[in-house]
Amino acid sequence: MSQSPETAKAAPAQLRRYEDSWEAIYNLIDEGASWSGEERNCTFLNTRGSVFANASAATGLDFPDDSRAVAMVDWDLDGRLDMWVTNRTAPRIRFLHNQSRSAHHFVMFRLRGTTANRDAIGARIEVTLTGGAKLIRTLHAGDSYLAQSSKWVHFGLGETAGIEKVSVRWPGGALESFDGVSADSRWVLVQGSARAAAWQAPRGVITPAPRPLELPDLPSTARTWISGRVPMPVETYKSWDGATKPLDEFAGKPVLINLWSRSCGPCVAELTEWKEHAAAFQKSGLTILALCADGAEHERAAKFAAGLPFASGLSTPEMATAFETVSRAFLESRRPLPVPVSILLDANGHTAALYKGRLEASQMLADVALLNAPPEQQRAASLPFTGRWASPPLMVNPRQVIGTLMKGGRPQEAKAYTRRCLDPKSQLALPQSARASLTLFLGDLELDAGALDAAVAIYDQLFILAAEDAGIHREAGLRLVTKQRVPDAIRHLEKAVALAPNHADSRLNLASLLQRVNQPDKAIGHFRELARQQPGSAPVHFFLANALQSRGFTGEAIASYRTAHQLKPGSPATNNLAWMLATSRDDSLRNGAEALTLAELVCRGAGANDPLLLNTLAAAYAETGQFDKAVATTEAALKLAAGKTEITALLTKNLEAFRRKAPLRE
Amino acid sequence: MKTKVYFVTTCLAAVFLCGCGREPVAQATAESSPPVTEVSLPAIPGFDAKAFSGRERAIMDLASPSTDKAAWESEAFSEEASAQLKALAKKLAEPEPLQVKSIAAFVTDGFAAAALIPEQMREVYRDDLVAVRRGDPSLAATSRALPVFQALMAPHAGAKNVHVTLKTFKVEQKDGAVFTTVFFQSSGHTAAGITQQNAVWTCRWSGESTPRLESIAASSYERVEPSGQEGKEGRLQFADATAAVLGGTKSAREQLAVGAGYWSGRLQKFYSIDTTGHQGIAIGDADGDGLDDIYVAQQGGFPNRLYVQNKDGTLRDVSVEAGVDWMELTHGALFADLDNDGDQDLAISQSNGLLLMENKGGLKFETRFSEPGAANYFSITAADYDGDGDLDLYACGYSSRNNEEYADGARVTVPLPYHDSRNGGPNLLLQNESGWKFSDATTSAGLNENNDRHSFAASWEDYDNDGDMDIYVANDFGRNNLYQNQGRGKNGQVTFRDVAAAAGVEDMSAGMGVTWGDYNRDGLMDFYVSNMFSAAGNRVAYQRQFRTGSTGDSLTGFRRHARGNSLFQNNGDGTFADVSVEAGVTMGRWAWGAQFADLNNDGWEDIYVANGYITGDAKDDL
Repeated sequence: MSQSPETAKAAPAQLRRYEDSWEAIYNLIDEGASWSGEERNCTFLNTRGSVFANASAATGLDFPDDSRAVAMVDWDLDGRLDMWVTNRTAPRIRFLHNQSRSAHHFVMFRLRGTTANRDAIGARIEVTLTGGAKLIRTLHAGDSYLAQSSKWVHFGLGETAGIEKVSVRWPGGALESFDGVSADSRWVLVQGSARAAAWQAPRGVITPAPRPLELPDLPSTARTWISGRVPMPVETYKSWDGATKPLDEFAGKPVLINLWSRSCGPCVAELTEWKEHAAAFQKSGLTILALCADGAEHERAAKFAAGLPFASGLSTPEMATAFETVSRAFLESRRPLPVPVSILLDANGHTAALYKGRLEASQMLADVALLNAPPEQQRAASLPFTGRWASPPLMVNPRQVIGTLMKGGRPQEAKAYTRRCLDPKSQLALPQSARASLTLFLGDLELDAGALDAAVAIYDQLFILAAEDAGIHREAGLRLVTKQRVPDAIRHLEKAVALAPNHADSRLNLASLLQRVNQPDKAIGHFRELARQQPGSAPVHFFLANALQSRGFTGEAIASYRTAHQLKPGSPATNNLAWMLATSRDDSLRNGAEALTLAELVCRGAGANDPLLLNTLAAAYAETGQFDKAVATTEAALKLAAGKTEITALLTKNLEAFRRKAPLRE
Repeated sequence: MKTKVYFVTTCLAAVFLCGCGREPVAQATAESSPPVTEVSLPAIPGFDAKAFSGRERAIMDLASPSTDKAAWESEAFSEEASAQLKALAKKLAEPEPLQVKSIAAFVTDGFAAAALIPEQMREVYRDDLVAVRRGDPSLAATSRALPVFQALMAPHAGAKNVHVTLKTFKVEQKDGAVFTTVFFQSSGHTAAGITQQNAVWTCRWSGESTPRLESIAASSYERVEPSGQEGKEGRLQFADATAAVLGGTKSAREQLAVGAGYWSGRLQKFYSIDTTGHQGIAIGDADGDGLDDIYVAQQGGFPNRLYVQNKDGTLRDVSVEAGVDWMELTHGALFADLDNDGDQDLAISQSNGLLLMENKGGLKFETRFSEPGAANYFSITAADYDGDGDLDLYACGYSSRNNEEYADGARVTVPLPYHDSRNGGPNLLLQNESGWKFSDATTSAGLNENNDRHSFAASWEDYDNDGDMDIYVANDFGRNNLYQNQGRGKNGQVTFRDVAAAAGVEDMSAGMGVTWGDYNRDGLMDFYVSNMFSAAGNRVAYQRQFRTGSTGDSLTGFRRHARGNSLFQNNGDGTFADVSVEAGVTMGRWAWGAQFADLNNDGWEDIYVANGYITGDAKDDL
């Protein structure tokens, strides 16, 4: 991740590059790349407190799985720790049986709290061995990574079976000793009982056979049932004579588009099998459109297709792209699609299923029957196993298709597709919020293409489509600002502020824009409201002061600068306050001494290298009658301003005034 | 990294398909799973799916190690050298006797090395199962390649299943020559058990296009071998017995025997299928019969499973009857008696938040509390932090559900900055107010301090032996937290302070998990943090040109990030010593779960590390 910015405050372009590099890595993985794959799990054997030995292979625990969680338990009740491990790869779980047969001893405890929590989580057990060695364990509930080990607390004892003492420090701190514990047994320790009770095992030791889960032969074909169907991102195919034909000639009934190749055995076998079910397909209302992907060399294919009782024709690069788009939009995998491949469209021409590899006629018929099932039933049919859901089924969302087209470098197709989705003819049951967000996206495309008027017109639809959505107006407003369409931006931001009066960023942006287009009174109103909402924000008071000053409300401006300065001394507000206190025409507002203190504060740090800040300091010196210092400071500022004509002119003029011993007046 | 729920993340979000054309996995000591076949059919004729991409493809090409050679010169070299070492490892593992010609392709004519196995070794450990010997390889007399390698493999003479790995983790240029630092590991099975050799080598390479070894200098050597005699029982060994206990259930055979990657080309991603496989397990006695049961988390669109142990040690699936077969993406789970009524309730972290279910007896669970939360939750851990006699819960938030907006309105959804990220999701402390009321006490307890990292896991422990529970939090992409319990203040609140920096345990790397144990038996709790060891990360981060213009801090951060796991020894004065390197436990690869456990009952805590991120079917490892 060498693209990462050094800190969180980085330029947007650098952030983009960093985010892109993350996405690229996951894209590569989605194409089949490994990332620290086939690593073998490690066992580190404690060599009695010194350097651990790597016994990964020696223990037989060095599985090359992509392993995740590890939890310990003595499953077979033989006093040795077994473990359960979860994996990303198959098998997703392993029970690893400790087969060691050593003469070492053990003791195990189950705790029960009475005044402490009943599970006694957090209790510390100390076992003192004959000879004085002390072993400690704490009872945890959840540790390591996504794991919880057994609440039986296990102690290996080594070669000695002698236990001198067992004590428990219960959660809360009470210390209790337990009598009657001997090695190679399991004991229940109840808080306050002072005596260990032998655990009555419901069974004896077992010996599980060393046999991993058998990995099943999995079908190589793939069926993806799509909940939240969207229009197929292509509208035409080609007839055998090369004429462009509209897909919507099939509208009103479900259609299965199949891409096949003459040189692909499974393709031919599949179509041949389907022939026998032509009547059943017809009865179900399904049309099959078999499109040959062989390009120019399709002559033999045409002959074969002529014998099919199905509609047929030629695939096109656009058709193949549409298939790939659907695949990428709905699946994580980015492996290129194979042939045969099919997409089932419902009567509205929306994508209902993607099939990779050979598709059985029976599956096809079952899926056609599923097309109009309730959403819950469709969700259940789209997953291999059943269970309990807390969340509702997925909503329609064409954004993934649009995003895939954009990332694939096809903005024109993305635009056309978005328009289709928004067109009532598409019969897409888009929620209003999705409609608004697609409209915003269309506006963005126009904006990016430089068609500003078109963009503004599209964004204007949001006043109706998203009359209650502050966020979307904020987005539109901010985008328009970047293209200098300030009055249009203001309209959207005003809407955003009206809908969400407490969203500070919207109001701040709006107020700044109003200030820019010379509507200072409106701007001041918004800044005042912001200052009310965020009394502790130095920038807000600073902006308010600037606006007030621009309107000539000097007294109020000074008050706001002072608030901003107090919130963040040494900030630009401090400088502006000093300047006004030093140079105001209103005698009652000037305060040379305070101005000097403030200007010195600003120029103490980095300000000492800024000619404009030094200019303030000089003005403060002049106001307090220290004209020599004012002159010296301005001369220093002039050196720093070398090459900057405007500033130099200003400073030169001031220098003359100071030499005349005249303070500055604004 | 992506943030939508289905994209959860570390390293998150990804997905891939096990596929056809995968390279065969070398003969494993422990058995490996066979590759799963994706659709093995021709691509759509005339259509180049890879060409269907805009600037995306260019960025992917940049990120790909195979096309990034100009940027990472050492990576290009490492690839060549690694290919040579892989072939050499295969040759060494073959049962046929080594010959000069069989290794000629890997060594120069002038190759010379001192013995890779030291003549003098000291025994550092022996019990009735296993012996460990170590030695410092001599730098004295050198010999030619054949005798050197013959001697190296001699400990596996007559063994079956011989396996050799050579993993490059550092590339350096010195005095005009290229050197790589390599982990050597070999193992072989005999009737007495498994013998394993571990070593670190510095290899000097010729400058040819296909580099050859000019010399090897071993800098460490360790041998772990059975201490018993052949044929005698008594070996330190584990075996996968999953089928014996779980194989009787249809759900395990169908659902748990299939890798997460298989589904990425089959099921809609919006169900939060999680092909990065962040699914955990909880062990607890769900039915109160004294025998432990297991709850297994599953990815989105797959039902979580509760398997209850029968008297004979086998498991039966009661998920549906118990009402715990949730389909939402699940990361972690926990059995704990949350209402102090003597049975085990259930806490679950899911894509839609945190769920607490009450054990109603008779293997029925009922939802009593749910909290969507501001983060995607991973590990959950329980303790009575406020000493009021009931269990409180701490849930680790990884990514935020509400990422910070930056100046240009962009939402940054990736960890930022990478080596010290501060845009993770907030962790949640749920205070148990009894009667199934839980309140968010994160802020009132002071656990909102530094609570903006990508947290994977946490574990409570009383590390300072003052009688109350402190908690260590393992965070991806940066610093970890050690929150010390400050006790009850004047206002009646129990509060915490993050003392990780002062205690020396920030462990700035990609933290995945934490386990506590007194590994040196001094009466103080030490802990081990599982992190990412990335061979590629090590190789790249130590190159001179790495992040030219980086400040020292971030460069150190990047390097530290790829070091591996950490062992912190409790000094007893509130601080810890980082003893990871000298204890020999850093190289846990890309580690997830790690557990202290006394595997051989000798009274000393060993460590098991689960690792490996994503095994795809393509050659390039990112």
